[in-house]
Amino acid sequence: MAEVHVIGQIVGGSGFPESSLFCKWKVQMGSAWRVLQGDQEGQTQVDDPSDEPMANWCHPIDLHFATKGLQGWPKFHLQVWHQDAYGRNELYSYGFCHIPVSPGYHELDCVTWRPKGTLIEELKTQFIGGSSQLKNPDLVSSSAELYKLRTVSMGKVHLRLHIIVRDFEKYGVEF
Amino acid sequence: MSSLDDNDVNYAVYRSKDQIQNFKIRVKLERLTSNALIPSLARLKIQEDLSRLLDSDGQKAKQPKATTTDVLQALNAQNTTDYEEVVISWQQKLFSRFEFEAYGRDMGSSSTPLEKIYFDQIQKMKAKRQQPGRIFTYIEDDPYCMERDLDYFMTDSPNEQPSNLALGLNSIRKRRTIPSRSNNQNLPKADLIKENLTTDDLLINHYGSLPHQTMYIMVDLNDPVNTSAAQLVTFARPPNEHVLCRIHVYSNEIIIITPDFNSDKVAYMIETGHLSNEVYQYYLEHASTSISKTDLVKERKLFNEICLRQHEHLAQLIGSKFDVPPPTVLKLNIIGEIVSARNFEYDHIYIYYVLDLAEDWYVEPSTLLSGYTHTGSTTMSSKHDDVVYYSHPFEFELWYKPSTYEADRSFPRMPKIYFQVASLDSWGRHRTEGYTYIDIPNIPGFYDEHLSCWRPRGDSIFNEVRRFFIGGSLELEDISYIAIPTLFRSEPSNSLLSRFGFRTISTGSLNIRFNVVFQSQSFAMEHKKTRRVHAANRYGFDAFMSNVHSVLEEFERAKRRAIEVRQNVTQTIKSSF
Repeated sequence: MAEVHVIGQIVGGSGFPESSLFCKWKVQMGSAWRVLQGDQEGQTQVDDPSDEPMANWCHPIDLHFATKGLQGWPKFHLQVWHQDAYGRNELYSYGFCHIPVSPGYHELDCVTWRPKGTLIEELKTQFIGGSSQLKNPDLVSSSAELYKLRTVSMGKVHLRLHIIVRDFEKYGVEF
Repeated sequence: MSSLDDNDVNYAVYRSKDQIQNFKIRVKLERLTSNALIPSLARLKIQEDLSRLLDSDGQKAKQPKATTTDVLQALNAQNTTDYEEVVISWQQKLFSRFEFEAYGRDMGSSSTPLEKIYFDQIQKMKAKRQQPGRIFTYIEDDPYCMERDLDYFMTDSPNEQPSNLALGLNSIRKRRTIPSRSNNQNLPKADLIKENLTTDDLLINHYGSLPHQTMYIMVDLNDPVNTSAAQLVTFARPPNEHVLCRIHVYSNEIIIITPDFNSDKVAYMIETGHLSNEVYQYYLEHASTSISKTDLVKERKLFNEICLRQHEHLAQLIGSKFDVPPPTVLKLNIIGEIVSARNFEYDHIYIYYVLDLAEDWYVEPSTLLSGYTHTGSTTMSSKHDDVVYYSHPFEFELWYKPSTYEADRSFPRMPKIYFQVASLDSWGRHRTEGYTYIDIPNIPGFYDEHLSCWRPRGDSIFNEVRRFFIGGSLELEDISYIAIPTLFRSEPSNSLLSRFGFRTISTGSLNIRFNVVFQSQSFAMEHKKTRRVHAANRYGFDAFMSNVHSVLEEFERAKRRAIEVRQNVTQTIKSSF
């Protein structure tokens, strides 16, 4: 079996309408993969910058995978949430991005979007917040049914990841 | 380590996992004789070096390294000669003459516990008729240590004030045990914010210094006074104390000794500042009893076992299987995502993508080679209002198995991915927004591509007007026309692809990020070969030997296979009976 180490951080998010944000993240992978060490999911703290355009989380990611094959390479499922001044949490957007395959240092921007409703619902979102949510976000990232969805683009989540791989060359894999 | 003839004060950092109570240091102090004239240190240094180099003790008047017989003599006459040797263990209190008198006076009930302890110790010493020697120590709790000035004042300015940081860090030192912050278990899982801080919390969390303890080994260089006379005459003499050695022990197993041990180097010199300038020299030796051989062996074995067990545990979790493609087949994995689309004419666009397999490329029948993204509209923030974010991941797994004829003669043609961007607005108008494609590169790695798109325009303006008002635009019948049309490829008589007369308009661009990974058994074999043979040894005898090795290995493998085949055959024969 081969091993993959992912060491890095979720740096922050930018480009969202409001700035008091936190991020729920999860790593999803195929059946050939197993997490040996590290948290597979987590949630950052709420960052509320006063004058900067970017919310900084600097949330550490330290994962150790073991795998039997190349299919189902792990990917991040991100959900960016907004916490307003009254303490209400609303979902801002979803984002999906593959963990880079080639070993080394990668700076990634994972773009995010949120489902878009009818005109009335959009108006409601403008005033009182809270958009419609996906019934099952786990299926969405790899499903063939995404064409049914209408979305609105939101901001970007910045990631910095170091990838270390082990024993892949023994099985003839070239990155 | 500094050079052997360097007498500058230096310091050394040691690490030891052992308990600090086992630490012992030996100090040997001696006065240099024949100093009617103020001796020049340089001359002494040269004499020292010569004596060391010549390695004969007969010439000089002084002996920097005492032999065992000399030590015995010295011990017998310790009070009259100026040689002193002491073995000091960690935080062992040795009294100076001044302290001997100071603590020897009974303070009565107003003395602190420390003073009481010292008083008891001094009484015991008096009972055994022991006198304090020149060498003494200041340990952690001593109130009189003047060297502590170094903790607070670094320069010689009389107006120097220690900063808050200095005060904070120094007050950490005075405490013995502060739990180190690196322990994750001390962090509470809830209530991360502490409302009411105590000074203890401040010390733990705000100052990053490690708690440490210090000990000073000092020497008292005043002239020795006859003790009986000293009891009659009690006048305060300015203490002439010098630091011989300063030892810091930190809580992370580090021991810092200033200056370093010099048991095999030149002696350190101290000069008293008096008119009769006397020079003393001293040696510091490490005198802790070292671990016995059997204990050391046992300890090493224990560590090895622990490491091995951890390795085994992890290896068991990992396992040893891996999917490998069959021998002559190359597997290609494309792992990526459609990130965004930018600069298209209309909003609410989606992307249709399809992977076009070239010749000799195969895929599992159940794989989906095409897909649609969701319909996205542009961002709400004003900065980039022509970008649509998709973050749509895709993953393909392909196998390349050329026919034997092709394998020797032609280069593999890589598959392509075609993209069609279309828009569907709320009125139900559907328009094509652009076409583009990408060749899968044949070098594995990470790619971040920006692909520019075009759309067909047609000859008359009617198409454009219709596209604007009611939607419906010209579309490609055959999506492979974006790259090289299949019709063209299938007829070998066509040698020239001409798109003359096909009008297009440039539209926006797509951002695609993907990784290309190759896998094949021949790579694995190459890797095994290169691992054993270094590049420099590819020629000559080593290459010959490695070739022999590989031949022998192949022979072994073939023999094993033959044995297996024979076993299978005999089994089938037996079962058929």
